[in-house]
Amino acid sequence: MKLIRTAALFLALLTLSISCVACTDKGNYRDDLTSADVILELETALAGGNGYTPVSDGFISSSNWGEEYTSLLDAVSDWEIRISENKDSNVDEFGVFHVKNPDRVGEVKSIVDSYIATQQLRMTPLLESYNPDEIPKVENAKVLVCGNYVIYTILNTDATAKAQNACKDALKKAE
Amino acid sequence: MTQKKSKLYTIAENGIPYLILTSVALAVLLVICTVILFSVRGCQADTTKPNGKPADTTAATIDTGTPTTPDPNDSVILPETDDAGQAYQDSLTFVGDSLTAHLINREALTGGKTTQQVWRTENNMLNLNSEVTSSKIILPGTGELMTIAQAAKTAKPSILIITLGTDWGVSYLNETDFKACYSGLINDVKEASPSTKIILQSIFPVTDYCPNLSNEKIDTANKWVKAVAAETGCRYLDTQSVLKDENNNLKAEYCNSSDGIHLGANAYVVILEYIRTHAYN
Repeated sequence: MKLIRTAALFLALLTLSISCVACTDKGNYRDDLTSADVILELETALAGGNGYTPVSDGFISSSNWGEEYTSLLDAVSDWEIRISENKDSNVDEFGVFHVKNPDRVGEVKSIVDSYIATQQLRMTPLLESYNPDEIPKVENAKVLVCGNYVIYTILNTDATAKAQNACKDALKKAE
Repeated sequence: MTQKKSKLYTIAENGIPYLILTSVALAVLLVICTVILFSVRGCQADTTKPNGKPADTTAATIDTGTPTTPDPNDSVILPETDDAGQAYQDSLTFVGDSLTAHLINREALTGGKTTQQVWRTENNMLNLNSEVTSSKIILPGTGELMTIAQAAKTAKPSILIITLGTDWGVSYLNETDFKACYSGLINDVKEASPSTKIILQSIFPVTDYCPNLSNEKIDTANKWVKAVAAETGCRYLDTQSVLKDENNNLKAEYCNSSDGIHLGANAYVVILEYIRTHAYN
């Protein structure tokens, strides 16, 4: 019985380790693309849908991102965010952060997670009154880490999948 | 066989008096009550969601300044004038969020639901945030979507009344960002149409039952609006003053929605009368 328990624990730990490696897998991703390069891939993948436009520099501020926004800007070498060209009709948004140092990827992801959670809290009550069809996109928001890149999406399910696949393909190291 | 004793019995047996336990419990209860009491702020944004972290609450903190302290920006407030009349009212152009857009469906202006005086977005939302300068409104007449600055360049309104802040600004922007976002829009409009006179209208109050906004935050934000008007050379319409009751809340008879924000036709009559009697000469 004790042997079975030990074996089960070992297998669980092994599975967990493999999962962690698969999720972060920093070694299998490029680090030579700018955020602009990556976001171009996303825009290409999403072409034919809603049009997108870059945000202003003031988009990353304490009001939107909390006081951690200074840490965010410090941790990244470059960033790009796109919002809908018709943002009064749809809430589509996606962004790419290129983290300078692999040790800070977790920190950047945490800040982006916090931004997403805040957007969910802020936008849902407004959308309930004005545009309830857009609520699922906010609830479906995702954050993806590919090596030193942190990518977030506030899109519908199909667009999210396209965007994430585009990122993984663009950032995968050539074999 | 020794029976297991309950913990309480063991505690009693060890001599810890019940009086001390009771005192500690009462002290804890008192602290909890005090925290709850000082946590009550009236209307507040709902920040509870099972899977979310609390929203950023650094925006528009309650202003506890002395009521009698004069605001150096009061000089931009449009003073009372004689009623400037229908012609003046017909010369005005309005841009803002749903509270402005409802000038249309409340048929408050000449032309009623076909009035050409209101610039609104497709969904009537117009957030005061860093993207306000790129937000697109529907230009009356052509139906084209364009930014507010582009609309100003195209239409060259003689007087443009801007009312922003209810959407996003009051709830989520700190003073610096609020002023920066608003000023950025004003500067764009001025560059696009230098001859347009710009009036910044106060953010309207909300009822005491409004779940998403508080009048304390709105009052603070209106000071920022006034400051923006002063800094950008605009004038300020203190319309909110005629919408409030004695408790600093939107008069209940003016609100036609359970959200405590949106106004009925009677409110717009009062608003437009205030605008005509505080004309920009």
